[in-house]
Amino acid sequence: MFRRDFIRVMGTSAGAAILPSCSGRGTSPATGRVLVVAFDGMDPRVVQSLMDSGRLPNLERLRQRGSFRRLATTTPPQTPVAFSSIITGADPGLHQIFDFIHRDPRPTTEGLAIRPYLSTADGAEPETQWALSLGDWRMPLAGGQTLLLRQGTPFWEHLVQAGIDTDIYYVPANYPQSVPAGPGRFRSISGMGTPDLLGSYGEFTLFGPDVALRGKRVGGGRFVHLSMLGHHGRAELPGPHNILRDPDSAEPMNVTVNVVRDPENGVAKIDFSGNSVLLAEGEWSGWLPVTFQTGIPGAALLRIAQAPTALRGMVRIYLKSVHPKLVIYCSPINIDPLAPVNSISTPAGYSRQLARSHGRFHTLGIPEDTKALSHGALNEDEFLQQAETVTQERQLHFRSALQEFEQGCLFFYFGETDLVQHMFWRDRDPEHPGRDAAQGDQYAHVVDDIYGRMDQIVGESLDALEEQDTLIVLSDHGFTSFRRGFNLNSWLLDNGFLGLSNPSLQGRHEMFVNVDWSRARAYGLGMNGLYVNLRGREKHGTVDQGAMRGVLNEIRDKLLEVRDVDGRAVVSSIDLVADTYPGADPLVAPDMIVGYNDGYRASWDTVLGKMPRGILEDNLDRWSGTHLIEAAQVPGILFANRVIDVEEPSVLDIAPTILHVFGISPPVEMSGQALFS
Amino acid sequence: MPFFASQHKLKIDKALYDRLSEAAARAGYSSVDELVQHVLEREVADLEEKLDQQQAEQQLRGLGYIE
Repeated sequence: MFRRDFIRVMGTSAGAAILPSCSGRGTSPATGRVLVVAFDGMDPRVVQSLMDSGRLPNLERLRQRGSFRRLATTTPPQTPVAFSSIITGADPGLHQIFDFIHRDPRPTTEGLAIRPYLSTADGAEPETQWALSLGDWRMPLAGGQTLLLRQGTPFWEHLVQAGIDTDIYYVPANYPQSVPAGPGRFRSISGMGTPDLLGSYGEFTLFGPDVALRGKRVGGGRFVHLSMLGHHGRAELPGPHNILRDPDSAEPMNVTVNVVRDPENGVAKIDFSGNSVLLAEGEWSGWLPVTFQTGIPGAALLRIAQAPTALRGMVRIYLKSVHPKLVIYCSPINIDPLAPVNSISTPAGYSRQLARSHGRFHTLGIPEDTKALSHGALNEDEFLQQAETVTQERQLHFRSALQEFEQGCLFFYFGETDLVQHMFWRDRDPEHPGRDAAQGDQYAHVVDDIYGRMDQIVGESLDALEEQDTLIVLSDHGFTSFRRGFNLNSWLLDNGFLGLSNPSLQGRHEMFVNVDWSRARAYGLGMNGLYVNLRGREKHGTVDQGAMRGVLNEIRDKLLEVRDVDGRAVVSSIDLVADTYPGADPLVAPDMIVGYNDGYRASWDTVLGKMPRGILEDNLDRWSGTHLIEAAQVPGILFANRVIDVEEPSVLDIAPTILHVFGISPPVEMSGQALFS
Repeated sequence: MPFFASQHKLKIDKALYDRLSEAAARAGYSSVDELVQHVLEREVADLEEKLDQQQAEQQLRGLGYIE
């Protein structure tokens, strides 16, 4: 008999008195289970509109059963920031995540002024690299590791310590995972922030005969030459650097791809790494394992000694066209859940268990290949097919998790709403400058459709609920249009806060190359961050501590005055981090968070330090929706099957609420409050 | 250099070699070889730095939020 059946059968005060001593798990009949479903970027205005037109019957059902509120998000309203607050119940002053991108202000590499890195994880080199060197071969005996940079205690640690079973699926800002200790059973799969096998956040490969021999690299992908001889093609799939070679001489480990096409039947046979797959034009393969061999002599003996001799990943292949041109898309090389090179689950074998039960699945933190769409490696329909595969995998895991969900807390994250809205917002915005006239309204329904898809998930959640269970449906932020990009660093340059070594080369370099740091008082990095070039903190700091506030005030006042050609304000709010988040680590946090007005965002160029001429530009990329603006303009959603007692709930309230439902007093470090009485 | 270290020959045209000879003499290098080795080491170090930067940027660019 399952535990909740036992609870239902007992159902009396006598039973309730007996149960705690029987369970040892901390879930009482009065508490029930807690199910939290997160839909990244789900916007309350879109939800309300679709509920009004009857398109979201299950969210409407949930609203009638309990509550629907807007959910205040973090400043800035970015997923790693907001989810770090959801996880810890505290603001960035505690968890120290302020943007997607942070920087090391004093990198040791000579000539490098600042080094950007993903805010939630960074590599840590050991003080001593122990390795056995044999000629050009290098067997690492101890190496660096990746560290989770989110501070604070995740809510699940309190649950597990109290003996409450907890499952966490794909939650962002949790790679590498924080693993709790306690009597409660804990399982998790890492989400946003999980890299691919190359150590990047997603690099597709597109093979084609028209690509130059040397290939082409773009943000998030590569175009690789496919060498054709009649109907036979051959190319190299670029892999990770050889882990067993001296780093100074390391070359990528590639895998040879051989293709034979049948133009009459529109099919091609693709062979690589022991795989042989026959695809028709317009067909996707399943997950295909790929092994990158180091080539070290004596590999067989080394494998017996359990020394690494190869790296294993997996890819999906899509045959875009057969004839006249043979063009093949290859997904980013995901970590294989059956043989993960890095731990992506807790327990470590849980990813293998899931893959054995349900098949291989996307492990890349942001699995929807938006870069492939942005760079034309996939068209809109192909991208939506790829995204649908992600949804199907996640839905399978969700259903399986629900089936096993007997007690405790289940927190399941879906990212599709965010990525689909990023790519298809312009199709619902008639004023967007990047609209494709030829496409017209062809994709105007896509965003509504993904909301409807997620509504089905809510329906399954509702159907699985028992009376005493709690269901929370939330999003970390809302969404709006990204019409115009603001070149923050160009603006700083034009206003005397930055200087260039060679002004004639303005706009040609990224990462602040060509900056004359002796004339730099501030710079922008990341989506919303601005840093003072502070003496004693930055490698080439010029501003004294005593002058810092004056510089920030000057920048703030001027930024708030910036107007677009139509008179609209570009920036609607400014937060000085020392005031907003007094606990912020000054070595990590930006000094200012820029809250852009609706329609605006940091430009593509300014995010990593490029300074083109001009301050504002139309956003013509397919990535046309955003939430990286003033937080108050993009709240998220909050639904619950209970009455929410708080008038203006925020993402900080989720963790204390979960603890409260289980009868655990939220710790003092959680600044949020319980939503239910 | 160690006895067993490998060395490689590079071919350059005479006009460039003559310029290098003059520059080596004026800059106080003991030989053209010494000048060339120094210049190449410096350029490769700069290139490696740029490649390291590019590698860090490329890793981040998979995030759709960045170009």
